[in-house]
Amino acid sequence: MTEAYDPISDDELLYRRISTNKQLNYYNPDIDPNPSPKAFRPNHKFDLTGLSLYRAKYIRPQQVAENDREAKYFIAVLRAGDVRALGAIIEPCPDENKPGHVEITNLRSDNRRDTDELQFNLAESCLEVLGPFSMTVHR
Amino acid sequence: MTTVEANITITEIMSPPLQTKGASHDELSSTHADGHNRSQKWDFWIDNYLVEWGRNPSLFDTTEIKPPSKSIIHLACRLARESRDAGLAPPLRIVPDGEGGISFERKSESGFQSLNFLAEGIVELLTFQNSKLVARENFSVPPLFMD
Repeated sequence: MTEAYDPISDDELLYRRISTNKQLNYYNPDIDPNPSPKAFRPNHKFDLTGLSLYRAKYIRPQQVAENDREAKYFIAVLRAGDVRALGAIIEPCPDENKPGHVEITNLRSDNRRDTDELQFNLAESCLEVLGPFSMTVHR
Repeated sequence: MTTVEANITITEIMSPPLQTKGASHDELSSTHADGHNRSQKWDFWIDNYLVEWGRNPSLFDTTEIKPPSKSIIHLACRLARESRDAGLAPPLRIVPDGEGGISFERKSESGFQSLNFLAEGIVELLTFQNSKLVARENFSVPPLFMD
């Protein structure tokens, strides 16, 4: 079985990328050690099949932050078992540009307004938030 | 979880149903210094965020999110100013929802609340306690505040 599809154990750590844009206010450690639930809200345009996370087993936080827009990101750290305990379904979703990509398949753009509780609990279950990281890649 | 349609004033929306350590609303806003701090915090959010979002939508990466609309910003500003003037506690943070709306988020020992100004003009208050969404209340918005 390739690494892309090997089972995700409960003890694995997962990374969630969070914008550092101060106007979004998704995360500010000076006011709250946890991110806003909005950092776990599916994007109405892009998260059609699920909310993206990355397996720490296969990717470094700096790589998760890689982008071609010179944007900086925080990286929230969650434990797979904690995420599953909240009712989230985590499935591998290989991405040729970034290894270890997975999705929470029951947290999508089409049900984003019915999953407020899961979004809130994901934000509250973060073990820590790393960064910010800035990794610009020109493709 | 209860879902309620309510006819209620905007100031009543922002009255603190989440009590901190059993303190009354009067106790929370009892001192002049406390009141001044609260007012300053409201002004911080109004001036540096709500007003700026209206002036400069390019602050957001519009390839990924839709900035708050002017009508929603106007409504949120109105509520923020009324709440400030009523001496109510400011939110923990004010956050765009990525779809043209705005949320005021508040956290206390008893739970978490999100007052959402949705892009379509609906105002809803979500209340979370013990990791559960326990209430979703919707409020009608007068047509005056719509585009």
